[in-house]
Amino acid sequence: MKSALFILWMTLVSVTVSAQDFASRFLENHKSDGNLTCVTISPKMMEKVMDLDVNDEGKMMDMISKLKSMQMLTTQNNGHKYYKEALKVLDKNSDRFEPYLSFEDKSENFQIMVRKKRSSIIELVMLMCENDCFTIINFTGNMSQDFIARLAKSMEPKHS
Amino acid sequence: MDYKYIEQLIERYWQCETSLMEEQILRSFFSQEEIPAHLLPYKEVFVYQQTQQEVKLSADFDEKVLAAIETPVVKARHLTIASRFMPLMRAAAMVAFVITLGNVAQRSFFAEDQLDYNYESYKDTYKDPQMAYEQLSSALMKVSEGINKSQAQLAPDSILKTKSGDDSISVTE
Repeated sequence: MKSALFILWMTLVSVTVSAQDFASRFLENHKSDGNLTCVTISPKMMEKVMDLDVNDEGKMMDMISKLKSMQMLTTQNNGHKYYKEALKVLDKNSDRFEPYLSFEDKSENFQIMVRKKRSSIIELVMLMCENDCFTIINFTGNMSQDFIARLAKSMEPKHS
Repeated sequence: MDYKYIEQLIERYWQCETSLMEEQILRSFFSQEEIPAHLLPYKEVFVYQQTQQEVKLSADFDEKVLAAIETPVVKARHLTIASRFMPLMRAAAMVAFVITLGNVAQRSFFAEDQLDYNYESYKDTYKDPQMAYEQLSSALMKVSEGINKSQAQLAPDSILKTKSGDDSISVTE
């Protein structure tokens, strides 16, 4: 009986760990960290958002329709430290995520990673370090190369 | 030949009046090869008795009986390290098997929508969908900004190329 319970527990742990997105994995290592703010939008809330009557010529809603969930972690302090730690987590999960795009200059660092299944991008992670602020934006959904292209094209980038 | 004595003995045999000696005489008589026809039906009876008397236990009968009723001797068994850890190894093999089975099941269950995330653990930050929409818009804008900045740095000719090289996408017309 004990061994059966142990086996069941091991199976559950295995399944639970493998079912986490990047932001959740990063948060696992910073459970007691009060500097991090986490914004979560679940699939249920995403459905409610899709029911909103928004006048944006359908551009934003079209993008959101491809998403299933979002998690955003932010901190205003020690951005570079968190950025490095996030890169380590990415490195540990290199079989899961592949590098997609990156940007680096004196004040800003971006790293965009994707997780693919077959031809779909099912997870998009953007790490951003600007001055001392750090942000992780983590989308899950059924995205595609076309989605990324349209996202880049249709959204007006804010050039600082 | 006169067989009256034998006939009398047989008659007394059926009446259970014969002595052991007389019965032996009957058996000896019927063990002969030539028996008169009217006494032939009795031959089988006395020949059978004669042969059954010769049946004896085999020489190893005692040994067999004693071996069957003796208590078995318990011998100390020498345990090797491998045999000592065998239950642990079996348990480890079982765990590995179940995990593999779990992963296979998980892959097949989620094969259709391809998303294998544990959304049940998600706790919404906003209750108002409008707030969530604004946050989503802001996040998408940031990602868009990141993509465009990366594009500008990577490819001045406005062609986005991924690091893997084979997934290129055009973002400008």
